[in-house]
Order: sequence, then C-alpha cells, then structure tokens
Amino acid sequence: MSELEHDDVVSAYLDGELTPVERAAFEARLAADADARAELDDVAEVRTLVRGLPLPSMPAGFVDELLATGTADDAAAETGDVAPVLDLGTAQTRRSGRARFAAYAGAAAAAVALVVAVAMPAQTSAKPALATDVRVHQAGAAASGDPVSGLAPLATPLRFGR
Amino acid sequence: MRRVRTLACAWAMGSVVVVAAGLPSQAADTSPADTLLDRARAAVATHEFAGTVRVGWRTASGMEWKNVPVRAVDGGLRLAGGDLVEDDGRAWLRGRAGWATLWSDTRAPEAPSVTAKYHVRIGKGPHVADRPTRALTIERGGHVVERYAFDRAEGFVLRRVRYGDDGRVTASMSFVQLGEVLDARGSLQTPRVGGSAPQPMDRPPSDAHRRVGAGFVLVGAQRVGEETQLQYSDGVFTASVFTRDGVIDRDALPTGGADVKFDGVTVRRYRTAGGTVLTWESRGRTYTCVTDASDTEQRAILASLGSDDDGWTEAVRFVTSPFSWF
Repeated sequence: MSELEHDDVVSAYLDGELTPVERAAFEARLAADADARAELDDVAEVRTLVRGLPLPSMPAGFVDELLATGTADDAAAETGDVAPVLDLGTAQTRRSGRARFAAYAGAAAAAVALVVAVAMPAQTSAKPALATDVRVHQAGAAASGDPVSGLAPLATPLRFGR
Repeated sequence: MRRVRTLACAWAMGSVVVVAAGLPSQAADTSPADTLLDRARAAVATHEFAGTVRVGWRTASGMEWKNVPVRAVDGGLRLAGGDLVEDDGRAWLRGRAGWATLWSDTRAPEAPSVTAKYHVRIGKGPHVADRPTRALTIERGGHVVERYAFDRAEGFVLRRVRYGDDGRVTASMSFVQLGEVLDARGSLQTPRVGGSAPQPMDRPPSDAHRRVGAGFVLVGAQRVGEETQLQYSDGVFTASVFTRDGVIDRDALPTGGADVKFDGVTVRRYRTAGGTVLTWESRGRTYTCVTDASDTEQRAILASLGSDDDGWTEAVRFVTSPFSWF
C-alpha cells in the first residue's frame, strides 16, 4: 500500500466510507501496528481542530472565476486536449482522498499559523529606567567593593551627559 | 605496635595534606591586592569617622566635581546628610517619594581576583587628608587603569582614581577632609526594605551569558522592577546588563546622550557620575548596560552580548551545570 493510498484509507475509515471488508482489514492492521494507530489519532485530532475553525467566506468574484475556468475546460475538451479517461469509481475515490488530504494539510497549517499569531505577543515599547539602573548598578558595585567610593557618586545629582 | 600506630598516623596526616592540596583554596585566589581591597571594605564597617569626599567624573565637556559629606557610624554609612544609607552591603536612597531600596542583598558577589586579568603594584602612596597611605596601582598592557590609596593605619580607601583608554582620568574620589577615626559602636538604624526592592535570583536566567567582554564573569542576577539585572565583574570593574521586553521607546530616553555605533548596532550612550550608560534594542528586547569600564571594554562586552553562538554555548553549559554560576 503506497503512502497516498494509506492516507486515503485512514480518511475513508474516519468518514465511514470503507466497505465492511476494507474496514475489517484496516482494523486488523490497526490492532497490529502501533504506528498506524498513532497516525489515525493524529489525523483524527487534525480533523477536530479543523472543524473548530470558522468557515471561510468566498472572496468577491470567486464564483465568476470558477465558471470561467469551467468554460476553458470545455474548450479544451473540444480541441481534444484532454486527459485520458479513467475508471470513474477509482478516480473519484483517489481524488476525494487526495483532496481531503490536501484540505487537512492546508487547514492544519492555517491552524498552526492561527495559534502562532495568537500566542506571539504584540511588540511592545519599552522605557528603560536609566536613572534607576545607574543607581542599582552603583549600589551593587559598592556592595562588592569599596562602599565610600562606590556610593559617593550617587550623592551627586544624576545628570545624563554626552 | 607503636610502629604500626605511627605509620597509621602518618598515613592519615599525609592523606589530609594530599586531599587539602587537591581542593580549591580561597587563599590561593587572594593576592595581596585582594587583601587590601577586602580590608578596606571591612574597615568602613568597623570604624567611625566623618569627612568630605570630592567626587569627579568626566563628561564630553570635561570633568565635573562635587563635594559629598560622608559619615561612617554604627557599622554603616550615611552620605549626603543621610539621604544615602549603606549597611552590610545594602543601600537605600531617600527621594521625594520616600526611601527606595537600591540593594537588598547582604551576600557580597564573589568577584574574580584582581590579578586574574590585571598586573598590580603595591607601594608607598601620597598623603591624603593628612594621612599616610599605601598605594595600589592596577595596570593592563602597561596601561594604568586604576589607582587606590589606602589609609596606612586603618585600611579604608582614601582615594580612588580611574583612567580611560587615553590615559585621562575618567572618575575620581578623594577625601579632602577627614576627622578623628574611632572604632565603630552600636548598630545602624536602617530604612525598612519595601516590596519594590530588587529581588536577588538564586539562579541566573538560562540564556544569560556567563562571561562577557574580556574576562567579565557573571557574579549575580536579580529582578529590578520589570527588568532583569545581570552583574558582571573582572575583578576591578563591574558591568550591569539590564534587560526588559519590548523595543526601545527613544522618545522616553533622557536628553543629553549621543548615538554611537557598536558593530552596526545603534547605541545611545550617556556619561554619568555613576558610570557610562549604554542602551539599545535587539530582537524585541531592550538592553541597558551600566559600567565603569573603559570604552574598549564596553565594546568587547557589547560584542559578546550580541553573539548568538556564545549565548547558546553558555545556555548549554548552564543546563549541564545548573548549580554553578560559572
């Protein structure tokens, strides 16, 4: 079983689209393969995340563009520049699996981006407390050295010069 | 039997000598120069005197000077008429809003030996405030960086002069008048430590550089308001690096500084009586370095702070030796 086919089966299993025979075979594999169980859990978790996202709205003009694309496909068919004919059942299963996988992957990326955007703090501005820093530094220097020469500068007006 | 007992005794004593020789010795790290400095610190806490010190610091327009009254009493210090109080390493400053705690940790940071990086000379010093002194000259690369004059009788510092890269005086403190020196009595009444006092950290942050510049090692860390302060020492000079989250608000900076470039980074620099102040931003954080070290040392410190590799290396070292400051 190839990678893509395996993904198809996982998705189809979660969607309840496998035949009883296929379902039994897949569950037998799950029982024997810890990696397969882990992958199933991962995919199920991503689906849960994706279903929690708000539905996207169609951008303006999207439907018109889609119709125009369909017209172009029709024109290509008329000129004979078309893809070879496949078995409809096989193509439908494979396409739906691939599309579903791509949708999940894209949605997962969007979810990650959303989480990162929410988790990242907005860049704030900082006002360094220079006068406090100077005093604290000097007091610390005095604590580890001579207290008179360390602290005496702090008894002068603190002026910030060039 | 006596021979056996003698041999056992000799073996035991020999073992003690061998084990002791293998242990790090505090005395081995303490040079005569370190002893002079340690004695000076202790002398202030064990004597009472009153006098005036003349403080000087260099700015772009030349040296500025100020006389400050100093009184050592009850084991502590009162400066500027009592507005600045020191006791056992702790320090408080009285402002318009009341007392502020500048330092609350009584544990003196373990700075490296003066001789770890510098060459020192000890000799006869000048008379300061009519008292004979012992001089300590600290050099690096044949260049004098600092001179001390210790009271020959009691050991406290009567004069301290610091020099810059160009050999000119950058900071100075000297007693210009000193009264009778007595033994300390009593204990100092100190202001109460408020909740806003700097809070020493038991362990430094994991991303803190353990060494910066030329021989500056991390000797302490504490929280100061919204900032983290990392304290470094090379045995003579100190550098504090304060960090806080956020990009620097330049409009909030005091006027009077100058923008300088350090390895392509724009740094606002100020000269104050308390040292040179450098403030800049990097990767969404604001840094402020306060130090009495020379401009050359400052460049080396900032260069190492900007080094990612060093930071990662030090972070790994921290993880692998979580109970060591070095």
